[in-house]
Amino acid sequence: MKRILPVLLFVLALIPVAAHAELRVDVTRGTIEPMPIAISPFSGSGADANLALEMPKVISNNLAGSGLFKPVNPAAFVQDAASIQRDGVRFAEWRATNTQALVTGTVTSLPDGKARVEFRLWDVFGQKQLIGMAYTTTQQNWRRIAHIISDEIYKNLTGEDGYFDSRIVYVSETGPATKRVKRLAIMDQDGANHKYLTDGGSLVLTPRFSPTRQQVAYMSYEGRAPRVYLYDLASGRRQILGDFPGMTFAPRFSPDGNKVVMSLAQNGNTDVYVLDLGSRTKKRLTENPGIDTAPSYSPDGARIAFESDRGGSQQIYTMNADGSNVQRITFDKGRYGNPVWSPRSDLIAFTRQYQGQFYIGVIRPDGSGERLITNAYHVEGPSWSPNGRVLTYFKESPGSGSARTARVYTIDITGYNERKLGTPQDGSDPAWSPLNAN
Amino acid sequence: MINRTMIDDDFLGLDSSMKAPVVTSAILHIILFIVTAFGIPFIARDHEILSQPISIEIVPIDELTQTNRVATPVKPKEEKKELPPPVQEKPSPPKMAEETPPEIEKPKPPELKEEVKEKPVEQLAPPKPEKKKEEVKPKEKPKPKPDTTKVEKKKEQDFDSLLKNLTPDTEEEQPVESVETAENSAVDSAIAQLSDRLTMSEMDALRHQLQGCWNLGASAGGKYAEELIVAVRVQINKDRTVQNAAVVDMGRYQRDNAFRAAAEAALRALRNPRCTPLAVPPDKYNTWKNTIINFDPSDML
Repeated sequence: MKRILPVLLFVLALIPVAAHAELRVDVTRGTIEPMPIAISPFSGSGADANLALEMPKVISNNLAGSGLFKPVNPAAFVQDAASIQRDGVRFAEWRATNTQALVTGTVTSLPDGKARVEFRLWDVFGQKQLIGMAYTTTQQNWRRIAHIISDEIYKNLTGEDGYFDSRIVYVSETGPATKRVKRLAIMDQDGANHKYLTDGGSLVLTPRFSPTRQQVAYMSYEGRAPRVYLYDLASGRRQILGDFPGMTFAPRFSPDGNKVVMSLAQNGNTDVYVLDLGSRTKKRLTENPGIDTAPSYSPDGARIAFESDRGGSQQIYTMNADGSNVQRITFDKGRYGNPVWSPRSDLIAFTRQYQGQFYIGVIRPDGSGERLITNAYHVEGPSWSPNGRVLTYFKESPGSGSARTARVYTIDITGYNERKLGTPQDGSDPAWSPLNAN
Repeated sequence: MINRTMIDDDFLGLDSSMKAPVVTSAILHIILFIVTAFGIPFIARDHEILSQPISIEIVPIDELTQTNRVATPVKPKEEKKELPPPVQEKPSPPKMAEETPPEIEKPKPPELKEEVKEKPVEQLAPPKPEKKKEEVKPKEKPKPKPDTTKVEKKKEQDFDSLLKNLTPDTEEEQPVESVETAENSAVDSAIAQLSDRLTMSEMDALRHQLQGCWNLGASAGGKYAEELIVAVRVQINKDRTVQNAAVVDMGRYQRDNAFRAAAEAALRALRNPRCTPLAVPPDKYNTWKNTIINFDPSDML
């Protein structure tokens, strides 16, 4: 037996191992097109019929506005709300129309006057439900619910948080250039629910949303010197931020909402300061004879991007939150300014002036990957959507009088899908809010 | 008187003291001559010309060539300002091979917790069949086998290629050919029998078909979207319909939202009517019945 074993092993070793045949295919190209999604009318009768009709329109508008989805024309729907309710989703028929995702829902009035809204997102090709949620709220809140549903759909299909349940505060402008009236105004990100916050008695500039509270910091010429104010959206009350001896401007909140960084111009020198909102203590972060301004925190609060002309031309720098470890990140021709750190931390948006044109661009925090995504005679003031996917900014046309217009736009960070927001008058300096708190 | 001279000894007229060295010298010269003429056998052996091993790698041509591959990114230059990609026209209504339909679903609103909250969020379970049963989730994918295939991350971010850039002086980056993965898979499958292989055109047909069904629209521009490489293990029926498609890295699918969305997009490609049935040669069932498809967007984004 002992002799046989080695022989046996030797023979076995000679037998080739059977090939494990599993075909491998690398698919390295695909199509880039908006995903076809059908947003079916919600079912709801009587008093609910109107909501059942309107909510899908808001959702559809949101998703189409993102540029990532293509709502299917309702004329091509293979089932109506009643049919879906009765027979269920007939996947094969929807699939034949190349619909990849389907949204269905119902609206029901409750005895206490509230509305209960259910929605379901279906994967048509996979023939399964991806998500189903129900919300109960007062009837007036229906637009918000539609935005929340849009965010759920967006998140489920893209893997990123949405941005639809958010607002944009901006400076509304009217009147001739020499006597411009500027008022703070706020609206939903889709332009609905527009309202003015200030009366236009004094000039306002650079509003910024608090990342955690319903508060807006902005600069106003109210009083003798321009100062940074804090406006509370719930109460409508406002207060001066910090007791600084000179002119303060360009405020921006820290990610935790507890601090505000801003610029202070004093004795011909401008530096960056941070103000603790709780203790009201202030600290100087830059000490340089040049102009240091437009500070913006990184989402983790560890770094601050700002613009400075200390190197001769106006460029973008970053530093630690305590002012140490300053690094320059832009080196190209022209003037760079207005850096704004993306909430998803991968990019910093900025404005660049070069050869008589303004550009909005993005760059990685280490200074690599600079990309200019839109340009015009005058574009400025980029602000990120809460998910870091879209930028809002304003664009001004040349000319004077009525020929001159300033409008608020949004653009996808790919550089495509630029859209004008519907503001009643001219608008500038938009600032995107974080997602509304529930 | 005879004068005796010793001719023998007086060789060449040299005197006897010179004889020995001359003989030695002659012998050495003869040896030298022989060596020159015929070489020294044991030295010659060392100088034998060694045959250099020439490595031959058998690489199937179908893995490397892709004749009908969409010409690699003619990158959008500045002038290409108009909006995103053209929308593809609708596919001709396909005849569908129903793939393992899940349970019949009827939209009887499922039991939802009827709590009334101001901004309440209730998770709705998928509608259930009439009969009340235990939570039957529309589960179609079987548990995938443990993650053995490591989807290797390739070159650093080629992130910006699809994204608009108006910078006047941006230097055009050379598109990187995706030969690396092709090589890897070539080596992997080199053991398979040549006759069982898909030919170049057969492989291209399948790739080309899947490219048309794989829509990256929702993930382009996402954070690190180019790193979302999804490997899907597909079991294919004899009629070339997909019997089962499962994401290989189920762990990442569970914990990473972005990857889950990318994986769903890959699965949608396989369920797309335009990709049913799959463009594989019917007579090579054994070759393609188990296939791993790697959806790799890193060249595109």
